[in-house]
Amino acid sequence: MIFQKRTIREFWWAGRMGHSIYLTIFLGFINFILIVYNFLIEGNEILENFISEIWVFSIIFLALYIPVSILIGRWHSNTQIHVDMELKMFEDPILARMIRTLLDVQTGIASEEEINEFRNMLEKIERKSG
Amino acid sequence: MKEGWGRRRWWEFRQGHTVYLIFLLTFVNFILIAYRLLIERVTFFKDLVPELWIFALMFILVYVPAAILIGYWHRRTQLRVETTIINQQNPVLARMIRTLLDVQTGVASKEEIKEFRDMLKKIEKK
Repeated sequence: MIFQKRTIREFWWAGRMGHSIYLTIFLGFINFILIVYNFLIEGNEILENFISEIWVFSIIFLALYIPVSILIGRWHSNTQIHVDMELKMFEDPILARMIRTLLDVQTGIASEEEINEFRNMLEKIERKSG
Repeated sequence: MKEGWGRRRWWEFRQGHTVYLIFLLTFVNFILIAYRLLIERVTFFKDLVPELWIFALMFILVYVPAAILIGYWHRRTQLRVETTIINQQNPVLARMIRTLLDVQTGVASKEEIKEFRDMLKKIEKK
């Protein structure tokens, strides 16, 4: 029963990843292309002169969007992720406690009581592993 | 860790898309849908916002500062709750820290250390 629950949860996770990392991009593109073409380009004399068909708009959009996205992502990976990580690490009390307790053990400051309490907390989390 | 050229570009594409450009797509979608299907069809709203670009400008002017304020509140109050909950549900991290603790306090057996080290090496090879 536990195995089945775990398997269902793993399928749920895989489904969410498939949706949020891959398929949602596809859905988002179709939404955007349909909405922009129907509500902005179609019926607009100036825009319709340049883009007469929805498939033309789709190709133009994808041909621009994909390289721009890659370039921005590259910039993001090189310059922004470390800021994101820093903000997250400064708001992560559990990880800070883990590292600080290890430091206190290493330097001999940690009391037996503190070590036991900390170890119990870790074991409680470990037990969640399937 | 060796990653293929295609996988790196796919990662960068997703970062560019999900962290930045998705805002543009979502904003354009929202503005067009709200304007064409709501504002244009209700006389009261149409009198208030007669043009699409005025609605777009009003929306951006309200939305961007509101998002920044909410994000700031999130960082100051909510983020630590999320990181705490996530770490409390992370048995692998807990095992890593507990084993390091046990090594330092002399509780860990040689067998346990070896098993733990093998697990780490298996992950490293990825």
